[in-house]
Amino acid sequence: MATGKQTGQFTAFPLDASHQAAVVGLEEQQEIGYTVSPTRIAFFSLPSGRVVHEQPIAVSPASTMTAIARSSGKEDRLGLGTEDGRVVPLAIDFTSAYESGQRVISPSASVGSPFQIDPTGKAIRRLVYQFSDAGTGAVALTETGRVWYVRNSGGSPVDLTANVSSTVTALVLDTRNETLSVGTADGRLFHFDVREASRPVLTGTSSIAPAGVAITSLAYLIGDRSLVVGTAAGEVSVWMPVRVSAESDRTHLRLIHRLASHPAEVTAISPSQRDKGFLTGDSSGNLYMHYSTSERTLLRFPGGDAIQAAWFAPKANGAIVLDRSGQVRTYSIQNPHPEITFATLFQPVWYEGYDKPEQVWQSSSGGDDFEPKFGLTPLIFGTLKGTMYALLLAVPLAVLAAVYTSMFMHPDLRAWIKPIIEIMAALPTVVLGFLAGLWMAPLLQRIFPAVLVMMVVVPAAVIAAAVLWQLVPRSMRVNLHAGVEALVLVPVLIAAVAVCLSLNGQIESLLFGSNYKGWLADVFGVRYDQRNALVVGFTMGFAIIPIIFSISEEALSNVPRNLIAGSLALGATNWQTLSRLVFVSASPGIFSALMIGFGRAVGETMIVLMATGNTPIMDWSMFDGFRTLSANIAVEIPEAPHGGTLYRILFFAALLLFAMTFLLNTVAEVIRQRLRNKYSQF
Amino acid sequence: MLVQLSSMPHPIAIHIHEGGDVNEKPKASEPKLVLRDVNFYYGRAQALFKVNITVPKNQVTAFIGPSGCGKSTLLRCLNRLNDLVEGARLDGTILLDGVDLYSSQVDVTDLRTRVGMVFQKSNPFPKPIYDNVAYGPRLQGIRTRADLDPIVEESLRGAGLWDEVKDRLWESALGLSGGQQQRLCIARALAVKPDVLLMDEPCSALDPIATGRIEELLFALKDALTIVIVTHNMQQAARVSDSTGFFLMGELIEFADTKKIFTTPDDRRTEDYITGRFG
Repeated sequence: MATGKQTGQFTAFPLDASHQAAVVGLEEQQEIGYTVSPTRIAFFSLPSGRVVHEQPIAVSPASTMTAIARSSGKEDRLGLGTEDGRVVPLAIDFTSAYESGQRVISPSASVGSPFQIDPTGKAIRRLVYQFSDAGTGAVALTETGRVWYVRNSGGSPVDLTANVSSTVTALVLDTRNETLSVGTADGRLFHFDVREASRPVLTGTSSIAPAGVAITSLAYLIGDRSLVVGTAAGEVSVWMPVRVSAESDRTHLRLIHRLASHPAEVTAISPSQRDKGFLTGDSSGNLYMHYSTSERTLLRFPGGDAIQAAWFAPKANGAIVLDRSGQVRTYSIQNPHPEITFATLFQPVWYEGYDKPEQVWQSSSGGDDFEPKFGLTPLIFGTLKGTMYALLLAVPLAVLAAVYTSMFMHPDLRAWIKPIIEIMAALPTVVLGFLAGLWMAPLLQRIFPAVLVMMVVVPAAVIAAAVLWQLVPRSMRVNLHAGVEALVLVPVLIAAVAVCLSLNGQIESLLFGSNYKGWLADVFGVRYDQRNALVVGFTMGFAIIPIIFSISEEALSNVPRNLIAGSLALGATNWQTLSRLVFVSASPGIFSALMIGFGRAVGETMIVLMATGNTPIMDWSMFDGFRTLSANIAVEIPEAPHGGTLYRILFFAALLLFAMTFLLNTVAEVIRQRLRNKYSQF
Repeated sequence: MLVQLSSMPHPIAIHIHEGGDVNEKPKASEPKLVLRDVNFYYGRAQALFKVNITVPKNQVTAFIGPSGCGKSTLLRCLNRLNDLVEGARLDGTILLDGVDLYSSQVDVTDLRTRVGMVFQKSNPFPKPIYDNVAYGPRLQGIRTRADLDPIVEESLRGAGLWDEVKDRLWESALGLSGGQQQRLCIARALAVKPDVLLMDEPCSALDPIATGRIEELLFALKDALTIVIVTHNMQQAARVSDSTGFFLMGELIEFADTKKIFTTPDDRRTEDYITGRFG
């Protein structure tokens, strides 16, 4: 299984008590951590805790810092709130250099120019500072209980207080500076659309926690879609905007995942910067690590003093925590494949941006903030769908051809036909796939109405030809070499196909009113995808016909001649002998043929890879593409980082494929044995 | 197999039994099958040369002769089973109750229900005993158990097998012993109520006890049937048959009363064969 064991350990050291830090951070390599207090920044080396660099924070005109906030995102950007209602930006950078083969990381901090957020100049009690390339936003809660928002240092602050009808206990701003949410003491969230910085709009309120339970912490997971909410009761939950209804563009916040609760008030949330994981800390010092997609709480570190601030290391392989007594704890964490559980592989999962839980395979995308969707069910579905369409074509053709060849065909002709069909199996499937994808798919799209009509016209023409053949005087027929009647059919088949093709346009306008695609969309609501299950059915059917034909023919030919003679001697016609005796006696062999054909189709890769659009959708429609387990492995293995989650899932998919065929073949063999014991004589 | 069998024009059933009740004791000399100048070819090779035989009704007629003398071929001409052989051709006439078997008016499947056959190697179908016996009647459209049960029982009794298998009718026929299987094949042939029963060395694979049971059966059956038996075993021919034909190299050397063949054959070669000088 792709999930490993999550483990972690921590070391702790005390800080200088006078430091009064409020924010902690870590550099990417986890060699240097820092704390920020109202007066200074301290950098210390890890894990020893030895201070390597200290820098005072000063602002002019001088003022006391009353709140510190850290921007989310990769860079270490902070804002400090002052006693007189200003925000002081603070940038921390790490530069690494190599000196005599040794990596040396040197930290630096620079204070930016402060800007006013509260025009009335009140002390800031709580601050949110969001730095981004698009613009920096800040939200401040002042000592008078007012909430101010400002975009960019030169922007004019807006007072949001009038819209919030309860005591503000938490604030959050997304990284794009689009949505501002305010959590209150009565468990509600007030959402503001702040895209237009000077005119924020209250877009809605959500009741998150039971009345009277305060929202104490808020944070967006990477991607700004999932909002993690921590409450005074210790509950941790993930909320996403979901469309109110399928037709509506309006969204409302919905509870998507509920994670393990803390025994005490949630005081800190730190999202991972590379996946949908996050850390939560509580007032009794417990630190939990959660994963949103798989709805799992992966690690629980027992408590100490109340956690004041927590920070997930940039590579999500460690954490640093500051507690109320001024201790810093650093954690190292192994967190392999947190997104995978059997449920996420095989059951619907409510992903970000979806209206409901769904089974989706989407392993990668351009962005870093993408939520990988590893639902294998669509691939299993695709495998079965492709197999079904292939068998739908191949089984009747191959078995009936085997019946005709073994029972009715002239031996001279059979000596030719059998090897020719068997040579079909020697065609590399990559050639078939190539032809299917590049030649047949567009052709089929053009002549689909004709093909549809062919399915009726060709058998009808064959039957008509057979009837006409009976009208040919017997004397003429017996003079012809027996078995020639099969050759007589060839021009009939060609003619039937040619007629259908030449009337393609007329057929289309007659049956579908000029455009079959539009008709399909109107009547059945299905879309015609050029590379679809029909193309695969034809091509993969073609690929498995030889094997089914060959084994069935063998089985039918192996029915003892004296049994057939015995049946005929009782007055049975050829057809009766075939249906009542030969077919039954050969049934174990024919069954084997079907199962081997099935196994071949399940594992077939190149044809489905090239002839379907490889769209992992779950739809039985023959006009839609699909993606099979095998094609998925072929498509994604070059892209999968060695040892990564996707890499392992692809191996798991291969195991699944093996298990499917193994199970199927085992069941088939058991059935075959039973049939053989029942029907086979020699 | 040839397609022509099933693609024949619509059959005209043969209704030529004169008072065709097989239970009625017929005159001993009444002919059932008449073969006139029958030549038979496998492709270019001629297997039978100008065979003329009259098989009497309700008697056992034996064909004897060394291997490859054409006696089995002749037997298979009598129910047109040779039609299955690629390149097989027959000229001359074979009359069953006066009707030419090879006329285009004859439906082959209909013919084969009237001329049953038991093969050298027992060939029960891989089905239950019951279904084996009911196979022929079912082909004729008899479907219900109520109709089939008496036929199955009667046929199995006719073949002397009923008491041995009545409790295991639904078990596979392949579980029977060799002799039982052969008697099952006889029962199966009897179930379609044929006039003629062709037996192609029916005892060659059986032990003496099983052979004895089948020979007894022939005596019982000939009241109702005309039996033609091909055998290698001259004692058997002498024991069971009323008249005997001796074949050599595709030619009928001599055809006469069994007693005469085995005591005072006309032909020197017959005498040599039955006294064991060759073959």
